Amino acid sequence: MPPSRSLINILGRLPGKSLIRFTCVCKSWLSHICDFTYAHGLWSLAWATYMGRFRSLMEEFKKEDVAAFKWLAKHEPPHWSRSHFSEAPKCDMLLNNLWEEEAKKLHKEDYDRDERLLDQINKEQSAERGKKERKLRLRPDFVVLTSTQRWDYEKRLHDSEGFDVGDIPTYAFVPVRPFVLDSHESLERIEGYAKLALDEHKKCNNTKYQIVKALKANIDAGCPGRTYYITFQVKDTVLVLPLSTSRPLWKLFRFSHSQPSFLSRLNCNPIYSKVFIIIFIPSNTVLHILRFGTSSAVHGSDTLKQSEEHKGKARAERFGLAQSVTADEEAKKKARLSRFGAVPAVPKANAQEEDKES
Amino acid sequence: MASSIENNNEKLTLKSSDGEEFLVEKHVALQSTLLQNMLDSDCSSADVIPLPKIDARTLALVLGYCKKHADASSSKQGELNSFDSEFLKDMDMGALFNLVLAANFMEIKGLLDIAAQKIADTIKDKPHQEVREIFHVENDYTPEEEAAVREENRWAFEGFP
Repeated sequence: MPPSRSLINILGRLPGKSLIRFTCVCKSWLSHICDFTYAHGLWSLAWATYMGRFRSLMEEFKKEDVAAFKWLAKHEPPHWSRSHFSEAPKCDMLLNNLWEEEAKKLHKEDYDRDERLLDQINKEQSAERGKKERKLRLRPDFVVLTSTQRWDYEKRLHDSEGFDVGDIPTYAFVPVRPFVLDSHESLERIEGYAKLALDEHKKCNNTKYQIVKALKANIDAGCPGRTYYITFQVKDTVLVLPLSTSRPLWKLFRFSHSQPSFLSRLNCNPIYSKVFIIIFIPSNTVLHILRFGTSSAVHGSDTLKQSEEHKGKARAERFGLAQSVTADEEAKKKARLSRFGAVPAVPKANAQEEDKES
Repeated sequence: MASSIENNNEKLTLKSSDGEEFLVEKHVALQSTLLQNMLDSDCSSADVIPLPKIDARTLALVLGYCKKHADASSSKQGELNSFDSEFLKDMDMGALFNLVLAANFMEIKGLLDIAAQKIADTIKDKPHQEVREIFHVENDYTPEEEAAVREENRWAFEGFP
C-alpha cells in the first residue's frame, strides 16, 4: 500500500462518486476522503454566489459533519462567503459560461456581418476600378509626364501660346496636346478651320493669302469647348513660300479656333469661341509674333447676352481668366482695335521678306 | 565553456535498492528534482548515488522515461504524450505503485502525474472490495460500521455490490 502522500495524490484524481464509494475501503481512506470532501464543501460554500445555494450547501455540510458545521457557524458568513458580500440579488447566469458563450455568439454574428459588408464594399470598388482600368486600357499609350517633361511642356506652352508643345505623347495627361493629322478626315477638318480663320484674317487685313497645307495642330480640350492651335503654310496669291529650315523666310499662320457646335451644346456663349490668327514670321534671327484677335459677334436677345455675361463672370472667377472674358463688348472692341493697330506692320514685314527673297 | 561540455557528457552512477548500478548521463538525471538538488549542493558526481527505496526494475523504467523526456524536451508534446500512454499501457498495478513511489521519491513530477492518473483511472469504476485487494488494504471496519458508512452514501453505490 502506498504511503499516505502518494495515496492522496491518487485519490485526488478520482471523481466524486468513486471517492464516496471508497470511504468503505478502510477507516484511513475515510479520513483522507473526508479531508477532500470538507475542503470541497468549504470551497463550494465560499464560492456560492447566491443565498439559496449557500443555504442548501450549508444543509449538506451539516449532514456530513455536525462538529465542522458548528465550528463554521461561529464564523460570520460575510467574512468568508461570497454570497454574503453584497445584498443585491445575484444570478449565476451572469457569471456562467453559458452567458459568455451567448455573448461570444452575438459578438461573432456582429463580426461576420461587418465582414460581409466590407467584402461587399470591396467587391463594388474593385468592380468600379476594373471599369476604369478597362477605360485606360483603351488608350495603351496613356502616360503621365515626369516632372522634367512637365516643366519643358509648360515652358513651351507658355512661349508658343499653345502652338508648339514639343514631342509629347498624344494621350498625355495635359490640357493642350498634339492633334494627330494622320488621316484624310482629320487633315480636312483642320484645314477647314484654318481656312475659316484665314478668311477672317483676309476680311480684317485685306490680304490674299491662300492655304497650302496644315503642318501641325494641337488641341486644347481642357476647358469647355475645344480650341485648336493650327500651324499651316500659306501662299500669297500665286507665289508658294518654300518651307525650308535653312532659309527661314517662310510664313506660317497659326490659328486657334474653338468649336462652336460643341460650345452651343454646352450652352456657352459663342463669344468665347475666340478666333486667333497668329502670323509667325521669322525674319533674320528675331522672331516677331504678331497676334490678331477677333471673335464672332453674338446676335441674340439682351437677356441671353446678360445671362452669358453672368456665366462669363462666374467662369472667370472659377478659372481666373483674364478680363477679356468678363469684359463687356465695348472693352473688347477697344482691345481688339488696339491689337489691330499692329496690323499694318504685317504687310510691311511681308513686303520686306518678299523683297529679300526676290 | 570546456567545463560545460564536460558536464554535459558527465555520467552519474545510480545504485538501486537491490545493488544494481546504473550509469546515466547528467542531463537525463536532471529530470529528477532530487538528483538535481543533490548535484547542486555538492558535486559528488564521482560517487555512486544510492536510491535505497527503488528496485532495479523500477529504476530502469524511471530512467527510460527520463531519457525520453530529456532528449525530446524540445520536440513535439504530442509525441511525448503518446510515448507516456504507451509507456504505462501494459503495466500491472504493482509496477505502477512502485513507479509512483519512485517518482515521488525522486521528485519527477511528470512521471508521478501520469502514474497516479493511470491508477486513478483504473480503480475509479471498480467496486471498493476490489480496490481493497489492489491496494492490499486490510478492512478495519466492522460489518455494522461498513453498512452505516454505505447507508450514508447510498447513492454512490448504485450498480455496485
